[in-house]
Amino acid sequence: MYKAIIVDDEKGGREHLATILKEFFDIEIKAQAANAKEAVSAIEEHQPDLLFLDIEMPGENGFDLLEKLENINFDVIFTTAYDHYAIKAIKYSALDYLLKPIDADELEAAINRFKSKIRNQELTNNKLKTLLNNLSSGDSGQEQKIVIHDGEGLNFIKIKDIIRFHSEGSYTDVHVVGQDKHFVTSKQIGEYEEMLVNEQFYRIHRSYYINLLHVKKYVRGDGGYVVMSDGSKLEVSRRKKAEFIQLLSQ
Amino acid sequence: MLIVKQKITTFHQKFGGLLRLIIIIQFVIFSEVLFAQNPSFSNYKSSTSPYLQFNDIVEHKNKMLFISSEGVFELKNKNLSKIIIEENLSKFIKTPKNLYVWSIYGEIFEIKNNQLVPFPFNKLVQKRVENKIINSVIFADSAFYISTIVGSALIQIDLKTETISNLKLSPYPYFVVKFDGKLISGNNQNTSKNELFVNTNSNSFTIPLAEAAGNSRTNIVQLQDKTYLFSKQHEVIRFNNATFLNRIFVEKNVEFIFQDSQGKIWFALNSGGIISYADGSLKETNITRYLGNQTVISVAEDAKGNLWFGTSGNGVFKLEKELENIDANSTITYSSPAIFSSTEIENEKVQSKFILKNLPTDQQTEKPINSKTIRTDRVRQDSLPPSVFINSVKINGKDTTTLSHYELSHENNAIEFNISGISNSPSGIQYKYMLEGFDKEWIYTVNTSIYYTSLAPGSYTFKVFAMNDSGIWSTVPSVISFTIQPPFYMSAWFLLTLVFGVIIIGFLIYFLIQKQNQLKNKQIEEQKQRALASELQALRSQMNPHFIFNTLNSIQNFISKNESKDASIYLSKFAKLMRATLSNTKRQRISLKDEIETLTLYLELEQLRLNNKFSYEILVDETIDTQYEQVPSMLIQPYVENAIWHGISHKEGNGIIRIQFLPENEHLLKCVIEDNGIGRENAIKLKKNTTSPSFGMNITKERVELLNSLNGNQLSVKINDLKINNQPAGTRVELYVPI
Repeated sequence: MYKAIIVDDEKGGREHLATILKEFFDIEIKAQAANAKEAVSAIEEHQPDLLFLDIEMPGENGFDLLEKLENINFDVIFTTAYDHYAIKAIKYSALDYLLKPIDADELEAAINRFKSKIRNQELTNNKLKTLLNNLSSGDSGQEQKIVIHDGEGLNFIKIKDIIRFHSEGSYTDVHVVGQDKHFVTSKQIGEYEEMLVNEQFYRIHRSYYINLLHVKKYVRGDGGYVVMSDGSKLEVSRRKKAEFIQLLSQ
Repeated sequence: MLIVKQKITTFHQKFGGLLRLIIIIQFVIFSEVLFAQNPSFSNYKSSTSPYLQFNDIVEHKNKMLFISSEGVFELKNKNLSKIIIEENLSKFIKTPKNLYVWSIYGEIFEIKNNQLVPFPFNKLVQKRVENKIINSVIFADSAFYISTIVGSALIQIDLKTETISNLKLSPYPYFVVKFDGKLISGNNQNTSKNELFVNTNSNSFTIPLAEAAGNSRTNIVQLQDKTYLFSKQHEVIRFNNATFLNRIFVEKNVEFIFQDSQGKIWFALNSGGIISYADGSLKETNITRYLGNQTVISVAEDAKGNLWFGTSGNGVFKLEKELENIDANSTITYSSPAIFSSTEIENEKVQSKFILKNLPTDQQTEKPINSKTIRTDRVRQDSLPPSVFINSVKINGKDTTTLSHYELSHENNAIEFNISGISNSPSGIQYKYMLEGFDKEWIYTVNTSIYYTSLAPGSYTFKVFAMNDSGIWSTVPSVISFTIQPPFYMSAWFLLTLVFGVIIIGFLIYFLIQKQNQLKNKQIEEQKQRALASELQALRSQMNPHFIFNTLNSIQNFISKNESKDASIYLSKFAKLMRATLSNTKRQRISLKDEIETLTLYLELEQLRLNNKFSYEILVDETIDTQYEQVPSMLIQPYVENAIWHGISHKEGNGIIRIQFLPENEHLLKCVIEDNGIGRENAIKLKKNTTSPSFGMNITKERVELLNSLNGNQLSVKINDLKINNQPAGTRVELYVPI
C-alpha cells in the first residue's frame, strides 16, 4: 500500500480526489493539506511515497512548496485546472500532471505509471530541479531544459541545443549540439512537436522537426532544403515551403 | 668529345667568313664553343636503359650509387649497372653508419649487401601519409622526418623510442630539416598571401614569396655560412634564423640545390642544365652554366671533390675536381686554330680583362695570364650586359612605326611586340618583360614575339630586359608606353548620365512598389482583422450557450439520479472539450488528430444531451498521418453541429452521423459529413417556426472565404441533399481542406 498526501487549497478538489483514490486504487491517503505550511509538516510526519500537488494556491504555490523542502523522497503528480505556462514546464521536465476536473482514466494511467516506475529518487529530484530551474528562468524560451528519455536514461537538454528531431519509424532521433551521437527516443516526433509548439521549432517535413535557431541556410528548390548548424541537409516538404519561408523571414 | 669537335667544325664552316670580319663576334663564337662542350665532364649511362632519370647520387663504401626510376645503379667500368630493382625510389639518406633510401610512398629501406631491407614501420607510416606526395625525408638525431607537399603530415619516426608521431609544427609543411639541433619546418599557411612560414624550435617568421606556393616541390639547404637557401619553382630565397637576406629568380625551375665543399652553390634546373654561383650571395656576376638545357635532377660530391650530376634522360655527368680548373692544354684542345688565327691577340686581351676582374679574392696572387690558374668559368663568362630592343610593334596585326608612346582607340587592343637582344653570345638570350597595367609580375621567356589581345581601355607600359647566357641582365630596359582610350559608351560623361538615369528610374520603381505594398499590406491587415473576428465568432458558436447549458443540465440530471460515476465521466469530457476549444482558438491550424479528438468529445456530449438519439462513426483513411496533417481549427465542428441540430434532432427515430477523412490529392484532404436527418428543405421549413440560432453555418461560410483570400488556398465546400425514393434522406457535406 502506497502512502500519499494530497495538497490542494480547495476542499472539494481534495475530497473528490481522495474519494476516487480510496474507491478504485490501493493508495492510502495519509493526510490532506490546504496550504504549503500544512503540507510541509504532513510530509515530515508521514514520509509519503506520492504527493498530489495543486499548483495554484494562495500564498505559496505548489512550486514554492517543492523549493522549500530540503529532502524530497517521494514522487509528485501535479494537479491543475488551467495554467498553460506551468503545464509546459512540467511537460519539459517529464513529470506527471492531472487536469482538473480529474478524469478517472487519466488518473488511473498516472497511478499506473507511478507504480510501474522503478523508484529512482535521484532521477525524480533531477526532474524536479529541472522544473524549478525552468520556472525560475522565466519564460525565456529556448534557455529552458527539456528531458529527453533515451534507452540509457534521462538526459536534461537545453532546448536551444537541440538541432533537430528526426523521425525514424516509431522512434525519434534527437540531434543535439556538441554530441557525437544522437539520442534515440521512443516518443513520436509529433509529441515533441506538441511540446515545443511555441519555441521556434518547425516541422519542415514528415520526418524532420527542426530548431529554427539552428538553420544555417535555406536552398531553394522544388521544396528546397535547409542546411543545419551540424551540417546536415534536410529536405523541406513542398507544401511546407511557403509557410517555412515566411517563418524564416520573420 | 669527338662529337663535340665535329660540331665546332660545322659551326665554323658555316659562319667562318663572317667571323673573320668582326672580331667581337668571333669572340662570341669562341665562348659559345666552350660553353657547349663542357670539357671537364664525363658522361655515364646505363647500357641497358640509357634514358633513365637519376634522382639521387651518393658515395657509399667507395662506390658511386645512383637512384633511378628502375632502381639503384652502381658505376662499374664506366657503365651504370643495376644492382637493385625497385621502382618508386626517391632519394638516399646517409647516416654515419648506414645508407637508407626512401620511396615516393614514404617507405624507408636500408641498403645492405645490395639489397633493400624494408623498415618494419613502413606500413604504419604509409597509413599516416595517406597518398599525399612526399616532399622530403630526412634523418637527424636518430629520427626520420617525413614531410608531404599537401596536407599536414609531418611524421617523426624516432628510432630510439621506437615511436611514430605526427608533429604539429605547422599545418602544411613544405620541408623539415634539422640543423644544429633545431627542427626547422616551413610552410605556406595562406597561399593567397604568398609567403613562406618558417618554424624552428625557437622561433617562427614569414618570408614573402614572389609567387603563389601551390603544391610544387621545394628544396632547402643550409649553407656553410649558416644561412639557408630555399627554392620553389624558379624563385630562390636566402635567409638566416630570422632575416630574409636576398632573392633571385632562375630562368627555369630549380630541381635541386647543392653546396660543394668549396662553397660553390649549384642549382640543378629543369631544362636548363646547371648553374653555379661562387657563393651564397648569389651574385649574378659570378655565374657559371653547364650542361645546356638538360634537365638535371640531382647533384652530389664524392670524397675526392668530384661533382656528380644526375639528369633526366642523359645519364650521369661527372665533373672532375682537377679538371674544373681548365689549363692551357684544354684551351688549345677545344679552340680551333682557324678561329684564333687572326684574332688571338684580341682574344687574349679580352680574356685577360675577364680574368683580372673576376679572380676570386683568395686567388689574387698575380700569375701569368695563360697559366694554369685560368679557370674555364671565368674565361667563358660573358659579363657584358646585353642590350635589348623592341624591333616592331604590331597593332591589330598591322605593322606600325615604332614609337615610344601610342594613343590608341578602344578597338585597337591587340598588340604584338617583337623584341631582340644583342649580346656577345647570340644564343641563350632570355627575356623578362612586363606590361605594367596588365601583368603583375615579370614574365620570363625566350620567345621574341610577345602578343597581348583584348586589352581593356587604360594606360600601359611595356618593359623588357634581356639576359645573356651568363645570366647578366641588360642594365636598361626597352620601354614603350601606350594608352587605349575608352569607347564613347565607356566615357565618363556617358556613364555618369547612365548612372543618374538608372538611379532615378530605380527610385521611381521603388516608390511605386512601396506604395503598392502599402496598399496590399493594408488590405491584408484588414483581412486579418476580419479573420480574427470570424475566429472569435466561430469560438462563440462552438461555445454555443444552448449546448453548454443543456450539457450541464444533463450532467445535473445524473447527479440528481445519484449516478455519480456517469456525472463524473461526462463532466470531465465537458471540461476536456472546453479546454481543447480554448487552446485550439489560439492556433490557426491544429493537427487532424486534435481535431478528431475534439469532434469525438463534442459528439459524445451531444449524444448525452440528445439521450443517444444518434450514433456516430469517424473514419480516417489509413494513408493519412493524423499527427502530421494540419487543418484550420474550428472548421469542421459547425457542419457536424448543423447535422445534429437541423438534421437529426427533428428526425423521428435514430440518426446516424458519419464523418470520413479521405485523401483527395497531395494538397487536399476530403472531409465528408453525412447524416440521415430530415434534409435541408424540411429544416428550412421548420426554421421559420423556431427562433433557434443557426448562425454557425453563416460564420463558417465567411471563414472559408477569408481563409481562401488570406492563404490563396482552395478550400471549398459542396453540399448534397441525399434522397431515397425522391424523399429527403439526409445531407452530405464535402469539405476540401488544403493540407
